[in-house]
Amino acid sequence: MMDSLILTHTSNNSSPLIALTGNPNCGKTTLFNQLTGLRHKTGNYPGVTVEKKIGLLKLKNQNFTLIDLPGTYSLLPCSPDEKVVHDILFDQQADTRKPDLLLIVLDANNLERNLYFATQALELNIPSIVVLNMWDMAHKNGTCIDLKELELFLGVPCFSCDSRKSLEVEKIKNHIDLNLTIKHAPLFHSFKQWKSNWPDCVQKHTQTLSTILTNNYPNMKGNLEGEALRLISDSQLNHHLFKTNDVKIHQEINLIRNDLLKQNIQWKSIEADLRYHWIQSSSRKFIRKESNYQKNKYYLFDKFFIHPIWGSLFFLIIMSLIFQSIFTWAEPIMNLFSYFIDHLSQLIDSTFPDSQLKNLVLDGIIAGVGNVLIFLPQIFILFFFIGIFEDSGYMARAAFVLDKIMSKVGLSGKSFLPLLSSFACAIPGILATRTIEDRKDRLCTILIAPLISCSARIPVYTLMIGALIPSIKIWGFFNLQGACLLSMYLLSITTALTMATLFRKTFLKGQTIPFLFELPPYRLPNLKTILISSWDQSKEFIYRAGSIIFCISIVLWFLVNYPKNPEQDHNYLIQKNKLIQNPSYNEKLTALEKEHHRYKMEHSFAGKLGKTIEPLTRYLGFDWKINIGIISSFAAREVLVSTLAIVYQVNEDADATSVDLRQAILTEKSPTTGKPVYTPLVGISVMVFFVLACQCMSTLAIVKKETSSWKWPLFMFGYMSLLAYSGSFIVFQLGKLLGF
Amino acid sequence: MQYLLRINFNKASMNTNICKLTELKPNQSGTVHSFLGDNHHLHSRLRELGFTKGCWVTYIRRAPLGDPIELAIYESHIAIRKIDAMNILIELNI
Repeated sequence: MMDSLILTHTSNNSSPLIALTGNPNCGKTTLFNQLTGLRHKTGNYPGVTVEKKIGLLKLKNQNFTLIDLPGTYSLLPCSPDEKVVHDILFDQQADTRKPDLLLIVLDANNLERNLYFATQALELNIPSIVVLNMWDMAHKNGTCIDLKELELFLGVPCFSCDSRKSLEVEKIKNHIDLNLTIKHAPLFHSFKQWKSNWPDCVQKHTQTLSTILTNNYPNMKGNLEGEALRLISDSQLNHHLFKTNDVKIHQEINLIRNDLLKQNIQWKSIEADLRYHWIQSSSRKFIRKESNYQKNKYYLFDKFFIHPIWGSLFFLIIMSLIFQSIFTWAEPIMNLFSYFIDHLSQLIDSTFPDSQLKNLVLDGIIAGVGNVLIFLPQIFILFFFIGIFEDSGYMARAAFVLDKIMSKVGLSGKSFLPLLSSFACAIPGILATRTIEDRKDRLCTILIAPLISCSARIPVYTLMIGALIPSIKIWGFFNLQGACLLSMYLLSITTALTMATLFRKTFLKGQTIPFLFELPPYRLPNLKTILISSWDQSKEFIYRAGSIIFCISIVLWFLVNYPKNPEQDHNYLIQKNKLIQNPSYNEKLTALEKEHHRYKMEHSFAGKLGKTIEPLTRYLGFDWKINIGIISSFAAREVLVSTLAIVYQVNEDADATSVDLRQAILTEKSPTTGKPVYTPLVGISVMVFFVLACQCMSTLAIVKKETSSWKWPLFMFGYMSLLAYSGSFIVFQLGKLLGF
Repeated sequence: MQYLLRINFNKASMNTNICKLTELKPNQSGTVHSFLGDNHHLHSRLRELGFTKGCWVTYIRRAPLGDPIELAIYESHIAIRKIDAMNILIELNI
């Protein structure tokens, strides 16, 4: 069978497909990285947010395609991840064909549990190799596994391995290279023996069911009696055969279940009961606990990490470290990126003549690329830390400790780190939600992450508070400015948590998978794997989110720079040329330039849009100039500051602490009433708007990417805009009523 | 269905050897007896993880805030919320 398979695939000009499969936490991904090196790519399976990893395995005789299947506890799918595995192994997945070889990875420390899935997978009769990973750890802990006996039991070649050591991985590579065409009969003898121990009625029923399966599904290969047992126990109807309209099978299964109930046999647990019993009784042949065996040896650190005092203290230190790193350590690298981008812009600016194309390249394309690259250091650093936590086993402990707090708003402990990262930036925060298995939990966390006050809002707060909120003490020691900043953060946190509760009670009700997670044994993290995976995630961000961010940047550039006004340009040039001839008019020249910029902005599409929506935003206290700022800050929130600087004709390089800009804001008068446009109330209204609004195209792009649909980013933009408008509306109108 | 299970549980609790998993003390072990309730999704996941009748389970500890709890089954440690763990009946083999 194997030979013919390889032949058909080689004739299709594609290399044989090897699938890596096994329980979660068995070290599968480390092995995958060792086998493929950097020759792999990640993506999503169509329609679901399940990560698909495909790589190339280059061997002396032949090349193979390697696919890393999501971690699975059972062949009966319980989660979207497991459904993908089920569908691939049963040849039901549209974009992935049935693998030609299975590389079943087992955790040697926890062999019995791992054998549950392994024996199920072997019954599919796909040529397989079994890899006993973390062999060294098991050996040190006094677990001795007899490989010869295990091979006899499973009927396929078994290898001991430590996926972190390349030498042992070589061994597996060689075997695949040389012995691929050797036929095996997985589980052939042991299955017969197992079956003879089943209760008589179970034997009889599986026999009947498997005959029907053989007749109705001639394509279904493998051990159909095992399949029949699985179908009988499938109380959730998750098996792909239940999705078909095959009434005969459904009826037969119902008959069998009723009959088993009559005989007092629990059909729901029949497969698990029989299989675990079989594994336990057989395991005596190949697992031996030596005298130095220690049951919970690799869990000793839990005394510290889950300790109410030491554990919490350690957690606080670690979290502040991460926070610090995203906030400040990434800064020098981010500055370095901006430095290069600025220099590149200047270089292009000075070498090419003025033209629309140059403007597009400078302000649209390079600025757009810059918007993407600027996130790279933060994302890489965050994923590096996440990698260390996941690999060492600490992540599960953090989720264990924090679950109680997060469950109050309907989330789980795993949402904590993504939300915390969102204080620095929602992008890495949303990417970090990949560690949440439950789809509804994850979606809920993604949807509220942009409400958490990110660092890009800080310039806006600084500008508004600095210019408009008086620096006075309340009750003697509270600075009003500080209190104002604090209340913005509190507003952001409470809104996020309220929305989480709301979402979890309405359209994200319930759980998609049971809330259970494993606390894996502590291990020393593997630097190479972590660096590779951090790089993978960062690369994916650049490719996929980058393309969307890039496009929106160009659209925004167009909105701010068009339509052109040739007459005004002409006038400007004439006046400019006049001034240039006289060097002493330098000051006037800059004033003229500023005025020109302001004029262009006012008459651009963005300016017109700002004026069009003025009737709406008047209730929030915003005039059209602030509206321009809000429209252009869709590129990134901090752009508000530089846009306002252009609108108010102050130095273009103004930052949030610039005195000129603050002065300009304070003195700005309304043309109709002559009163100041900016009052402290307007400042607060603007800040509230920025806390609640989804003013960030990169966030929307990343949400589109992570949820693989436009539905959720649009929903996010919609609900946050609504929140922002109503929030500012209430603040401004209430404030006005109270006389501020 | 729910009613029937409740009757079963009452019968079970009369037998002093059977208790809810959450009633165990830290580091106390027992064997799985049966599941309560109708969360079949959870039950099948538990079975896959090895919670089959007669299998040894150890209650390791509670989280510092009281929930969830940590169990050991085979060689793995599992975190589970109390509300779910309450539905696992354990037989104490004294």
